[in-house]
Amino acid sequence: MPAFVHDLLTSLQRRGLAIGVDDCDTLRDALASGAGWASQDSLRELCVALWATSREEAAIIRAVFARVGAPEWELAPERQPAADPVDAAPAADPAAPAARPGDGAPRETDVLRLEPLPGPAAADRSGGGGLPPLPLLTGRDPSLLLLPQYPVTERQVGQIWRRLRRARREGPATELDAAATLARFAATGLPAPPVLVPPRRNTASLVLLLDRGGSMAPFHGYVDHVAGAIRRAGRLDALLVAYFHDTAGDAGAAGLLDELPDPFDPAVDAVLDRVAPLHDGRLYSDADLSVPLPYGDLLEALTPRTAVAVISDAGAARGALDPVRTLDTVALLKAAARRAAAVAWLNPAPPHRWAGTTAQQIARHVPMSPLTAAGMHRTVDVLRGHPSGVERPL
Amino acid sequence: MRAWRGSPPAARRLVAAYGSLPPGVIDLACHAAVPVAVDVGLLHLIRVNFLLDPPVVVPYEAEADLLLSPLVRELGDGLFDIDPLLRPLLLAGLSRRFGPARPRRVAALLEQYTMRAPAWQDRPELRHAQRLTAVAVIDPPLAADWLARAETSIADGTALLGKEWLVAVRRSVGDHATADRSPDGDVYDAFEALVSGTVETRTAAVHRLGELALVPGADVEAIARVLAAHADGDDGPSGRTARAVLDTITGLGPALTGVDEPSAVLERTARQHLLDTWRAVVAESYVDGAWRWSPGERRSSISDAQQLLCLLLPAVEVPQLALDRPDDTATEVLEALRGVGDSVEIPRLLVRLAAEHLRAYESGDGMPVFTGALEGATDEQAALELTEAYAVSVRLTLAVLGFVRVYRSTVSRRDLQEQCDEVDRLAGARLTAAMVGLLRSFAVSLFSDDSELGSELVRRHGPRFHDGLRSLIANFRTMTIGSGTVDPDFLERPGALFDCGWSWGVVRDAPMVETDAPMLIQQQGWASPDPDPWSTMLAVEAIQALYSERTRILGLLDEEQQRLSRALQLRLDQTCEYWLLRGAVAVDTPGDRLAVGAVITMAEATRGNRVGDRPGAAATLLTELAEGELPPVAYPLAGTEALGPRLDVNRREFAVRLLLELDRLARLGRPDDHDTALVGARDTALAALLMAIRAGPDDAPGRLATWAETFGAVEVFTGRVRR
Repeated sequence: MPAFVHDLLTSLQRRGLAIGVDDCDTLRDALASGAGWASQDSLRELCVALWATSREEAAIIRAVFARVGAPEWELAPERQPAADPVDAAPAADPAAPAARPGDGAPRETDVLRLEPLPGPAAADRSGGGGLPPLPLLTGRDPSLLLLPQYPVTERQVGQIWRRLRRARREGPATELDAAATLARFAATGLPAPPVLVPPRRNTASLVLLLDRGGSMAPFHGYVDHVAGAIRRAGRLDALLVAYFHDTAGDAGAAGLLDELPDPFDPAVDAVLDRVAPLHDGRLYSDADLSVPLPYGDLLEALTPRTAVAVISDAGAARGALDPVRTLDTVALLKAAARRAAAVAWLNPAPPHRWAGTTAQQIARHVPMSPLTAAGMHRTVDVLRGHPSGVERPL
Repeated sequence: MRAWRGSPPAARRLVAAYGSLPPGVIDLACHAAVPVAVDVGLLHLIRVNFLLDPPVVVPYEAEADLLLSPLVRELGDGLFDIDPLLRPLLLAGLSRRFGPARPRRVAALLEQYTMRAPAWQDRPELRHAQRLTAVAVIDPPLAADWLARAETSIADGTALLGKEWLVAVRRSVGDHATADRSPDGDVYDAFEALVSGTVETRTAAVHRLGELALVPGADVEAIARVLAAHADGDDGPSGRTARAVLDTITGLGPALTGVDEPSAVLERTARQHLLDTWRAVVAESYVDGAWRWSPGERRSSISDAQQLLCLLLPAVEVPQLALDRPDDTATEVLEALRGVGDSVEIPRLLVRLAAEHLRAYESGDGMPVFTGALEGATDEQAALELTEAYAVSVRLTLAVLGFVRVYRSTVSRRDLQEQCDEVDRLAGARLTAAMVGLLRSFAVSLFSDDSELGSELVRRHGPRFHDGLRSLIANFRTMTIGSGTVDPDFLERPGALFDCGWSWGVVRDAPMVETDAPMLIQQQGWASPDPDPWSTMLAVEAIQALYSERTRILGLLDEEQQRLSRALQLRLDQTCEYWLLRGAVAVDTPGDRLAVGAVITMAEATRGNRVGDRPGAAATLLTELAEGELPPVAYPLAGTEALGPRLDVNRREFAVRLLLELDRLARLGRPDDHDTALVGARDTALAALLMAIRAGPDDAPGRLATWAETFGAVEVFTGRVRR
């Protein structure tokens, strides 16, 4: 095996493409049948055709290929017809928008959107502002990756959140119920029309409450990626994304702090029951926090089939401990918990940062998991009704 | 972890960052320092493009760790920038730690991202600043040109962006220009300021070195050693500060992301020094197209050879400084030797100088002579040949032969080829003559164990000394040509001891060496047959050069020379074994002890890796000397009194020689040899040498007071680069 193949595979694995022995065998078979020999480009496109399952993965494979120092060659005469299954459009922008038109999913607002490059010789036309034109020096460097690579891939997020299912037969009866049809025929012995039932569909809905700004700023890209992936690939009946900053509003519970037995103990257990649910908090329907969405309206929309997930660092990223924030958060979640099926929390800051912060206190009342694949699996379990085992539930 | 008292603000912040952040965060910060500002998307792309593959793998958490750290300021609108105070240091760290190509790769990403990121489309000031920054990294002159033109349009009022923007952008581009200067150069400047300068500048230099040690990828080890040497040697404020800085640096320990290969700074510094010396030599010696031999002192074959070797030795020993292939001469070399001409003219001058030198030290009938400049000598004494001249001639002719043989293969002009052939012939003849001279200046003195010296040796070494010498006696039977032949039977007698090495010149009654080489004067010898440690050291060094890998690979010796070299080797081995056995017992003056330490070190080096306690002995000897004073000394030339007044030769190159030997000792490189005393002695000696170079003669800045010392310094730095 040439050295660059090893580099290629390990680099791809580090970028979340689990290329295994089977994939290598597939490549070998394709090579044995004569494909991919014409040039480095054709080998690269063969790998793309065999291994990539999305345009993002295709872009990753192309970029990694350009980095690993694969030999360059070009066999001029007669290209094998099988050589380039997807080479028809090698110039197709590997960094094109990741949206899939036509799947009906609401369009994501946020995943890093990339525009096609202007022509290579183009000086900066937009906003030249009367300044002399600046030449573009780099053109398109194939080894540079312009797609984000978050710790959990879009595919993984989709797989995880598809487990949040509440299947119900709903709507017009269009699906054949073979067993019932047979049973009826057996019972009556008469030919009769088939028994139809409404199709099963996922009626689970999800409300995502995303903390925005401040110490969440470093996580915006990742959180948006997760939210976008849930929206596109989670196959949920309904998804509502609402935004807030730190808390959804003042629950007026700060006075309760004076009644805590030990003012130096960050726990608020003693007054927990006395925190009133928050009904008039303020959320926003856009990431810039400019279009208000009254919390009351959102609460109205919650049903026992709705799961609520909060994504926030809860002060962990900066190591902040704020008992008022704990109380405000408790008030917010109490209101949701009364109407919704389940409430869970995803924290993008790693767990070792939670200790001694507001996050540690909130995690005593609401199931909190890190924003990783394992953490999201656990969160989906909780949202499906599995026991969460928090220390002091709301 | 807190930084030392009075530390520069940037250093304080870096220390705090090292103390609180995982190491990958600093690496990410180095990359994030390239753009004017980053947003979350760009920072993420920087990490996945540059910090996802070994050897440096930085996890996703580091992105948030960096953006929430004090290294970064939040500008609002999702933008962040690196603390402006730290940006130049982090940029320097980027190329130091990830190689000089890395900033350009990051700049390429920055340009592509800027062209595509939707968030920046409606922010022309940001887009322009980012793209200009990318251009400034990839093509600095283009950026400078653009800035000049932009200034005009802004002054005309035709541009949308204002002066404030221009000022900010200039500062950002300026950071890149600062970082482009090599951090090694900064370390070197601070290092030099440390060994010279006033109390204030020394303290400032210590602070600066501390700051530079905190630059990611810095040669922490080298800087720490320099600081340690300074802390030991200076009780004043700068010494105290150096200790405080060291405490901080060592306290940070593995958090500091130093380079893998240590001492790169000192090595690069050494090459820089060689280039500086070349500059100084050319400025002083090549005036108005004419070469001046041995300016500043009385001319002799020795000083002329040393002067020429200052140019030639680095050129033949250090590949980056080679001059013999005009097409491959390095730019920094051309810059240093600009005074001579271009890459074509430099080697031509060297060939011409070699020819001039070789002809200048010939008698009227074309025989090589090896005289020195002896003070107050009669005519007869002035004609005496010196071992030192033989030794330096061996070094010079080997260098010349190696140089012209490579150079000749690159020239096609007939006259140049003929000139090369002529120099080749002359150098070969002089080498043969010098080897014969060395064969005739080898000295053995015999004495008994009841003599003053004998009883001292036996008292210090015990009876083992006798036994050790006995095993060497048989070797005298194989020495048949040249001086130093003794009757082994005499030595077999009980109580007989001997001493061997080289005398200052051809020894009394030295027999003629039979050789088929023509053109050879074999002077009558006048030197007393007592070995003189300093001459022994020079001879051992020269003879070792005859067996160097380079000499063998280039096949520099002809058949006759190989025969002579075998005879010399017997004497070399005998001398080495003898001094390994004897050590510095009954050697009193510092200069002689230094020479003995040198001989033992070279002896140990030729033996290969045999581990014993002897290099320990050499280390003790040399480090002791490093602690004391080494004043200039007048060496008596015993035997000259037969021809007039007794002559002396003045030596003052002890300090340089000491460093040379300490380096040689350090290169013996036992892995378990972490002798801090040796390390400290080397740093002290280096500091003294740099100071001496600084304080060199007024009319010849950049070199030491004499050509002997200047050549010594060249040898030191050549050794340090070649390693």
